[in-house]
Amino acid sequence: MYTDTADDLNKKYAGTYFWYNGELVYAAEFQNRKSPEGASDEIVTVFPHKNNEILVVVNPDLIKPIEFESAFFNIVYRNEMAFKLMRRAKRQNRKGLCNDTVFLLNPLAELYALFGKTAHTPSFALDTVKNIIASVFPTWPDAIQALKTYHSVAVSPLFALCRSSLDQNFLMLSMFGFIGKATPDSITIYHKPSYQEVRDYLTRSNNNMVLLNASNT
Amino acid sequence: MPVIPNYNIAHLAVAPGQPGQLVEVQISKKKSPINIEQQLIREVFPTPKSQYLSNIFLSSFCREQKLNAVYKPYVDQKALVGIEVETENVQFIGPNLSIGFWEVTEDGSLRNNGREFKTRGAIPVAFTERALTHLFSNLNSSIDFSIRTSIHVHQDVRGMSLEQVINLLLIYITVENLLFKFAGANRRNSIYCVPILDTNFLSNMQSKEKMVATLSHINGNWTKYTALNLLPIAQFGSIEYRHMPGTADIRKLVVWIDLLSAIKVHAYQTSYSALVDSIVKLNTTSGYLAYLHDIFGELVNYLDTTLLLSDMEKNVYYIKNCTLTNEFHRHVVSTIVPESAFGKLFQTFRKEIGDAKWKILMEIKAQIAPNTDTEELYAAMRRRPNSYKEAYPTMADKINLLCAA
Repeated sequence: MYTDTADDLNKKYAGTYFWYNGELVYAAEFQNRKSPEGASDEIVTVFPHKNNEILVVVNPDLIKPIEFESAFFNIVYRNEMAFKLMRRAKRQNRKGLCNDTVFLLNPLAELYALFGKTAHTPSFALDTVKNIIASVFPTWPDAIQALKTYHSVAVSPLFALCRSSLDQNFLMLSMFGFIGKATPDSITIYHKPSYQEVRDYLTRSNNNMVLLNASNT
Repeated sequence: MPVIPNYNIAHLAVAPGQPGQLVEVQISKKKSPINIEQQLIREVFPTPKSQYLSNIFLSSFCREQKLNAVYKPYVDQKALVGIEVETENVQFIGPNLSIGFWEVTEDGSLRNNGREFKTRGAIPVAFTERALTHLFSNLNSSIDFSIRTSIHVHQDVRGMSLEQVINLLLIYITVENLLFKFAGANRRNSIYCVPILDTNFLSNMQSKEKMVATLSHINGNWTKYTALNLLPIAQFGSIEYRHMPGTADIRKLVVWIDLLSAIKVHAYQTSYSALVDSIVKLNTTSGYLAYLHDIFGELVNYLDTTLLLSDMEKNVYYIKNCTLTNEFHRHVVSTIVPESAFGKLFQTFRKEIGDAKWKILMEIKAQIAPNTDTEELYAAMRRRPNSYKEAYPTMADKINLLCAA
């Protein structure tokens, strides 16, 4: 049975985030060194740990990549919270989470461009990755409250809210763009194919607010 | 014997004033618009004539080698497929292997005496079971299907129209999770077969027209390591399914190929509008199941349908969004309401420089740096007006106006 060497691990996981024995870690590099018994080489790396670093003798079998599906995530960055995470389908050796394997998209990029501004997206750091893994979404009232501070907030893996560029309220976003208008008490869907899924979202989050289909009015 | 080129004389014409003398002249060809309903993939992508092993040869080879098939009937027996099998720890290769279905190649991603076995061109689906039996009976029994190995299936789509391939893509997306579950759910996290739904491709394909444009220029619009790889369309007239991990389970592989054939047949038999209509109406578990029966018939029994809602809901939603143009989104991203909640965030700068300068700034920005932050561009031009005027002399007047006190 083939076991990964330090070279293999450097190709796959150096400079990335991954699970090691169930813990989220980052490793800059893997190295070979003689084991204290001198019998064979062992692989070592350094994991950052609470403002410090710990040297670890690596068991390659305990390394697992971070798994996720493309979706909205809440990551506090500048004045934004909602970001889309997508995978890159390209030739590469990396398996851990890093800019080579995934990328973040600011869902408001087109809106910023409209107003002559550049949309910013965060790079991967431990807190960013923790937020992605935690995948926490606020309730509707909390999301509305958050929009007093932030320009956007994700309310589910499929939907996000942002400050409206049309009026004083809010716009609702799907992974593909803007789908409707929202107020603290109601949602009006303008992109008909999204109606069913927004209704499902409200049902599952026990939200009794008014949902209107603009194409029926 | 030298090969005689098959000259096409359409580009030769009689030059004026020189009777009888043939010269080569350039005849501009008007590119006719693609008829997506009728034009076949082999016409859109004139690929070299595909190599395939004939029925007569394969039948006599199978008789000689005493290769029998158990699985039947296939959804589409005549359909052509190509199979690539990667395996490690190959210690023995039977001498008969490469005179029948297979050719052997090296693959840099494999270790431990790894080899890749490819069918010598396309073979009819009805022979896949016998081809796989022949392969595994000509290798040592200790071959290793490690995590690095996989099995790719190429499906011949040269006889399909562009519209039918779009149908196939839409059907595939709706059932992508079920196919991953069949192949091996852990494969969806492999970096070598990324689910389409996890990539950004669908964001660029939000209408039938955009899908056609993407397919017509596939080389610049797709990457190889998506689970459904469309790149071979341009090279071989085939599409590649990369989901299946390495396995010697012939029954599973044959059913897999039959499931893929069922998708192709449904895409072939259904019109685009009927297909989209059926997907848009999907919103219940029973609806999903009926849809699967329409596509796979009895083969649906091989799929794990226990969590249909979670496996299909997101995918169906994506298709609904892809196939119906989002006019509301267009309206939002083309309408500036300065006093809106979002617009107010950026009004301070605009108010500072005034509407006249804002207008000039936006004109300059559109031409020299459309992706730059407006405020940063303005500050940079104010700092180094002469550098900008030298670099963009045609806009010197506008830059002067902008930088005037």
